[in-house]
Amino acid sequence: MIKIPIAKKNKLFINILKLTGYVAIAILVLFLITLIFNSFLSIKTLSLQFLFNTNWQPNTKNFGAAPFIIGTLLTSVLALMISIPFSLSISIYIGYFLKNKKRKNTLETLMDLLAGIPSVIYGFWGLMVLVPVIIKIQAWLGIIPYGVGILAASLILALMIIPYSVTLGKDIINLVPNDLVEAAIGLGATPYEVIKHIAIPYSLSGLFAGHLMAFGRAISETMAVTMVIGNRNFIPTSIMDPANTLASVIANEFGEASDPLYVSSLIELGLILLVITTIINIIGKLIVKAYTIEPR
Amino acid sequence: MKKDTILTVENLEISVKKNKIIKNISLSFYKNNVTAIMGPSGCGKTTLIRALNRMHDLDKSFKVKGSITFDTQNLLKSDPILVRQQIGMVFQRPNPFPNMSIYENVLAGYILNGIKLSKDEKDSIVDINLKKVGLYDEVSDNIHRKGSHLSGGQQQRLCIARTLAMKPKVLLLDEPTSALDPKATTRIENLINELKKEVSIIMVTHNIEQASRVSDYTAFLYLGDLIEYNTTETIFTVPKDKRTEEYLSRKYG
Repeated sequence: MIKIPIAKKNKLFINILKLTGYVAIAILVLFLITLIFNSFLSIKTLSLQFLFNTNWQPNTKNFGAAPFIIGTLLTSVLALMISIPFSLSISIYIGYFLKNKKRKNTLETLMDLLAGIPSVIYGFWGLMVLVPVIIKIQAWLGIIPYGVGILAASLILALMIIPYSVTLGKDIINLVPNDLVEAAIGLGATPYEVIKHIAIPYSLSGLFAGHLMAFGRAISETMAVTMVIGNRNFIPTSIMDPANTLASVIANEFGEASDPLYVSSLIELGLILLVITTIINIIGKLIVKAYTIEPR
Repeated sequence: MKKDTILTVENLEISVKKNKIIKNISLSFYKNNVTAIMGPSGCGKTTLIRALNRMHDLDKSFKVKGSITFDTQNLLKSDPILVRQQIGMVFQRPNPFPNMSIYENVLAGYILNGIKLSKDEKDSIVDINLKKVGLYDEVSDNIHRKGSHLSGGQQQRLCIARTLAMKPKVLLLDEPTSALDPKATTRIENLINELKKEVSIIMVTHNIEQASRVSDYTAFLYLGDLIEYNTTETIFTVPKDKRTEEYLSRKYG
């Protein structure tokens, strides 16, 4: 057996760690290069017009990303808005009020389970339970009862992202220092007032980060959305309309695309999706930094 | 010295699970006086003072029996929110709200309870109370900045101002100087002397000298029992109980 000196061993160990870190960065860069390289044809042919063109007609080689960018932002913003009241309440309940360890554990495990359900199952549930309900409501309202569409997608997405916001949110609320809570209670504050004036302001940046993570997930969620959004390539005029998101149109059409420009346009949609999620992440980091309360 | 009673504790018993922390204590606290509660660690002094503004409600494992009379009412049967507005508390570690400015911290009690005030009322409450605790000149330039850049002693005085702003009848101080340096401690002790003109003060301290310096009455607690309660002068010069004497001569603690 060869004996390696300790100093050398240490160096080797650190170098292996370094290497794995660099590999992760390299993979990300290679991803970006692949996307740019493969969408080059579309970028060259369609130029910036691609972003603003509201038509997507593969048979006449007319490609525009606008319906999908709008579809993506609309479904995920709506999903986030629907989810916030629920995720916030659950986070506050688990993180602040629930003192019983057993119940707390059960609820936390359930939340993790919800986060772990495969998205195709959410999609199924949406198609079988949610869409029929929406059809009934639409018929009752006197609008065309598609069932599938922006609303169905947003509701499913909201359900899917709640556990994500809660996972971080409950821990953040739990971290609010007890002496601040006691100070507020000592001044005669009710639990609601403590939550409103102390706990939420104190944990604002963390709560924001949690919801941003959830928003990122909503933007890139593919399977469940593809199943319930109706896959129509127009700019939606109401939340009842069927539409498509960047992710869902790629999933839906990539298999059948044969024309090189068609394939390249779809890849460019992927590139746009990556850019949007990156921008949102950066904005999020900046906001978190600006609102973080320095520890005393 | 006139002896008006402000709070009367009768047969108070506090237990956690089956552990009795306070064993059947009865005593009266006097108006516009400073009463020190002292005793070795674990004697139940913090548990006692926290019962006076119902802080034990936060932890369901605490069981409180007996009665605490304030203004002819039994505090243990009143609305805890109202109790806490009249009996304010300052804690061991300075805890100004880090999300609020100095100005807002003084008004925190009003903000928290959703009491609307005009700009003038707010300004005057902040001015009066910052002046009371001697913080006005030190912070008047950056009153709208966060309180977290203040020194520990300043933070603690801000917390006292925040409590005084609610115009409490009784001020509870739970080892208010234990996290502070000697200079800041002296300032707080002088402040306590000033404040007793307008509010009755009950303070917990493990510092014997502090009790002798600032208090008018001293209660000595040992293992959950009230061993001796008298004017501070009597306790420190002619203690009746052997345990008090031993504690004062630092045989234990």
